[in-house]
Amino acid sequence: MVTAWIKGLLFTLLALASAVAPTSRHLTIAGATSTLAYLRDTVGGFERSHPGYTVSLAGGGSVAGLVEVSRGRADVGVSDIPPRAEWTSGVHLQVMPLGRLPILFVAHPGTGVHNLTTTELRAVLDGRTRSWKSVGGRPVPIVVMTRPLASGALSVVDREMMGGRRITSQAIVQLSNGATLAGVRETPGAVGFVESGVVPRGVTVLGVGGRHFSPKRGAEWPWYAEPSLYVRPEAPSIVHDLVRYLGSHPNRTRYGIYGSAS
Amino acid sequence: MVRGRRLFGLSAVLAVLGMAGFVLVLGSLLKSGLPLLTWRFLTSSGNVGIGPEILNTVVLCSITMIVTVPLGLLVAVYQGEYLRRQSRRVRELDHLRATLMSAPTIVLALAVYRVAVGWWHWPVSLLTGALALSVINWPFMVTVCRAALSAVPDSYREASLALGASRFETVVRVVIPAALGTLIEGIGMALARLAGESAALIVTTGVNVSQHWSLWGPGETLAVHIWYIRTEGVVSGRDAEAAATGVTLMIGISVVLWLSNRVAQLFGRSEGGYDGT
Amino acid sequence: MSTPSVTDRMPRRTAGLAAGLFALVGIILVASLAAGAWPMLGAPRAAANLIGAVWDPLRGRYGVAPFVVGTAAVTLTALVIAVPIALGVAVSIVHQVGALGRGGILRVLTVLTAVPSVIFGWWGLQMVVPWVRAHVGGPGFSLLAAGIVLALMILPTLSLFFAQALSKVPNTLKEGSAALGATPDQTLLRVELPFAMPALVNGLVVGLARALGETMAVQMVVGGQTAIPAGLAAPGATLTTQIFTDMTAFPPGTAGHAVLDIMALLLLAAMYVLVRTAERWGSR
Repeated sequence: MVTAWIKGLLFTLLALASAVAPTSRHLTIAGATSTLAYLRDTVGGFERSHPGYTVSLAGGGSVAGLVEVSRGRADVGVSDIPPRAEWTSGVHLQVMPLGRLPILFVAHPGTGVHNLTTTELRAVLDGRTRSWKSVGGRPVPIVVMTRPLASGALSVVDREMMGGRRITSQAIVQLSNGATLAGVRETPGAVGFVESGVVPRGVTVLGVGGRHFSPKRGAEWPWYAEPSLYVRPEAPSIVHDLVRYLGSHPNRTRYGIYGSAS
Repeated sequence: MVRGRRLFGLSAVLAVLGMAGFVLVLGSLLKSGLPLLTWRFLTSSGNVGIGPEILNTVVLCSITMIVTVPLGLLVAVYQGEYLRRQSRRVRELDHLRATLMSAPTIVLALAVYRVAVGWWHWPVSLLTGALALSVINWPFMVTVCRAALSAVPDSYREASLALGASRFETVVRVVIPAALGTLIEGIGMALARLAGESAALIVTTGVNVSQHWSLWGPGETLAVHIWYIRTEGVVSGRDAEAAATGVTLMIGISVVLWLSNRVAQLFGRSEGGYDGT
Repeated sequence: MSTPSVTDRMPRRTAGLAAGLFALVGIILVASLAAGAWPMLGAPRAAANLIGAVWDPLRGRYGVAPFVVGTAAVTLTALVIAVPIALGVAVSIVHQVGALGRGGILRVLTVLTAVPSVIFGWWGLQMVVPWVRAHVGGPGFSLLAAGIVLALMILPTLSLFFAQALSKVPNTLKEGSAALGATPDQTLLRVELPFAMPALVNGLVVGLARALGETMAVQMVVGGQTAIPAGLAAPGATLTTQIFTDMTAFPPGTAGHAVLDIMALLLLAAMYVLVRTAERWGSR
């Protein structure tokens, strides 16, 4: 009796392993965490209008999204950064941009600083300026918070803000957007960057080079990530439907994703 | 204090200090979490509740246990009952088991991900998560079963064998029943350990909940939900939600451990905790 | 063992098959890590790069020293805090609590070993990080914070092992010592602790292994800084947290991924050494 059960179990395991899972009815989206909240709340609508289909969201970051979709391990990849050949192994992916997600530079409210020039901010982020006092604030040491290498926001900041310099290796690395914001809010002297279309509470949003962020004119803010959905061209039509649904849903602005037409 | 008992006094102080640490952890968790813990929170889905997360945690743990209990028992039986004690193969299997048991779960999960999602084209889903958890739990289950089986006195086996029973009959009719109490308690520990796993599941089961529940669909668990709230937390005030989810998870774990201990006692396991690994 | 009878052949084979599968899973895991690590290990020039102190993978600098230092510092801090407290708990359980209370305390400790790491991480963010910031200085996210969180995490496990070790000291030994005029303190120091030492070390190694392998709770509070940490109050990263943080940045096949695989192998090797050490001490 026991051996029969064991045989049954082994057989089931083997069958499971060899069975081609019905991937076409179970779609996987993987990648950037910056738009996770939007996607998480929006895929439900797609599932409701497409009975029988499920959509899984896996985190991991922009690079992972591109890698997974080009290797066929995910149906849709989400990325803030454009694909590079070393990640996609030469696969030409189709793109559906979601819009622009502003990248805000935020500081702990206790620093006494509300505005920085681009040069000052650069010196703060690369570790040359060590105290808020040197940029007109209180004598609090500066604590820089950054994101992991897989982060799209980091790559935008590196390219558009740092002017060839690197963020200090003394920086604290926060895994996600939310963790960065919470870290900056709770740590005196902290400065960091978050992708957000709304003015986050509990932190000072720094004006940079005389520009000030306002959600009403969010599309005009010069630093932004462009989260996009990537699919393989030969993907089944349901995947293209999903991407169209997500790429055109009016809810996007509520999550701070602005249309790219400014 | 009696002379010459200073060390005992010191021990008591240290013990109280350690306990205070845990009171602090669980106390602050309860303090932030309890106000949010309503029936609606436990049963609804979406942004107001954690019903699906509870279901997913239960399903994942159950599938994993259904797979790993027999497999763990089999390996333990092979090592403890069929191979000669202290033989090289037994020791090698023991080393492998102990090393795998301490491997970071994220490393195991990534290997599973490459095989299941990469080669077999499974979607990121409850089943992929169950597979990852099974690989994580197998060494632990072998450990539990090894400990339970080896606690059964050899005289039981000898008596059964002397009566003409085969090794297999001895294991099924004598050794496993005698070890059942300890086994059940160990299974409770394994369940508790699985329910708290998060790192491995973020890559294998996903971080959302589907409208159409399916084993091939995504399945965020309670522990992953706590992680997600901290990750996404651009909206403030969700710390309480994380804490409430944590309280739910802790209550679940305590109930499982308490139940397994009760059941174990029915099967003749004496009072007292699990002996460790 | 007697020769297997005919009825035993089938179950024996099934069990052997399961054990074989178990070994296979382990071997595949190590092999896949080794295969991933090979492009780096196989090239001497690149491998020399690993010993360095600079982690800047985008520019080809793969020094893992900061993470080895971080792992050692966090683990040591955790043990330094947890071991005395765990010994205190164990001595109190064995000597000062009646048999009835003992069962209850052991049960509570068992439940505490199962508190999920995300909950410790959450607590670390709520209380430990601000505490370190206020009383020790620095940004709060630090090796020290991670050490404190880990110490509390491994405390129940250590206490259980230590209590078990001390309760195995025969009463005759203790009574003999007391009869010779030793105070309870002297008996504890000179008789009980030495007698229980192998089992104590075994417990220590188990706690050490748990601390080494922890990812989530540490990641949430350690800060993740990739330079060699300046002190305990400075942020840092450990092998596990760095694997977790950068896993997704480097797809398999790139040099960065090879380094992460090497870090994972390093951890497994450390675990294996610990397992062997525990075995040697436990069997004395």
